[in-house]
Amino acid sequence: MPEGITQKVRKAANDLGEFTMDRLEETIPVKTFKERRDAREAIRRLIQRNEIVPAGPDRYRYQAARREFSKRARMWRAMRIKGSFTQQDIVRLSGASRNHAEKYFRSLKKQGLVEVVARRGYEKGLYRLKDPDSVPLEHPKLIR
Amino acid sequence: MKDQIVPTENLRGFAGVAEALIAKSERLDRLGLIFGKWGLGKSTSLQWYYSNHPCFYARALAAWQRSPNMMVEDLLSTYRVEARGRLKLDVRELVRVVKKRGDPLILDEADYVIRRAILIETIRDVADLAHVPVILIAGEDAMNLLGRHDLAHVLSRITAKYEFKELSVRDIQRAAQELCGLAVDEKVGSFIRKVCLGDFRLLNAFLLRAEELCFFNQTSEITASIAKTAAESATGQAERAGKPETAWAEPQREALAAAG
Repeated sequence: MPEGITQKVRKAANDLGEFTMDRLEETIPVKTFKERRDAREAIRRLIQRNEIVPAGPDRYRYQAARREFSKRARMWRAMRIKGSFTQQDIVRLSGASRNHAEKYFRSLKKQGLVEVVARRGYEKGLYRLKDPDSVPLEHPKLIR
Repeated sequence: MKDQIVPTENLRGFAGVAEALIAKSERLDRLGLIFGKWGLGKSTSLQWYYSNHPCFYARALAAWQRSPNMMVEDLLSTYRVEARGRLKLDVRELVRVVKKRGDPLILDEADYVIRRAILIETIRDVADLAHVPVILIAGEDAMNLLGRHDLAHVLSRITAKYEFKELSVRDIQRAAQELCGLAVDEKVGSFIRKVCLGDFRLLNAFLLRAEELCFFNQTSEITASIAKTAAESATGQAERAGKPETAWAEPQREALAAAG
């Protein structure tokens, strides 16, 4: 897949660490005036998205955009890393509410991804992933 | 008691190492090391970090020390890629998939990896070629193991490291405030630290009891007498957990005796 101009700007900014705008424009590998114009447009977009931030007078630095997970994705990741867990463990690690966790657990049980190992309840009910090696990396959707 | 993770100094140190490596330019070495004694919360910090931040995680196995194939196959399965069974091809595939994903790779129980040169060299290759941060989590001997003459070049590539320490008084104050909404002064905090040996599991047991006592006494502060009563309960928990007596009993008893 050919590298887009935004990707080229990101890479150049990341390699430079701290830079002035002139230095960044010089570093981006462009061949035509149109590409130069697109590069400037891409820099403007990255500044708006806070990927390029000020680092002193006339100086900037690149900071990678943060990917934020949804609460459901956090719960799923917590389950994957723990293997066997209680609802309380998952609430603690993911920051989701008790209600939300309970709904998601019910849905995962319905989908056959999670099974009960012992007891019931929020603190003592122990669950585990049915097949930890083949569960999807992305979080499964909620089924009501 | 609330169900939440308390941002202790150790937790912030863990996240700090990861963030520092992510922020580094791809051209620089991005190998990190987090090490410390057992029971200080390395695994909990890792679980919290993994749940909330984009990264991949693999746990090293003792069996990896027998052959690098096993390690590479397990790492590939972390990325849901099937291994072909030939080391050279699998390492190339691993580099390709790690680079494609671009998220940091965290290796727990990395002592097993550090002990065999071929394993740590393979990890170094992956970090170098994929330009992705790799964080090793190991026990307290990690630095000694990496100090070996033949691993000096690996040690020099570790650009961020953090050693897990016992809970500080400030951590205890923060935990009491955030988990139970209870205030703790400096003196009582240092008493609790001594009784709990800086261990979060013991602190949890202590806080459970202290919260009950504060509720009955209708107070929002853990006083010295409440701390002493709760500590006796926490010490009992430690005894039941079967920890070696020499490791914990003396300082706890001394602290209790000093508290009268």
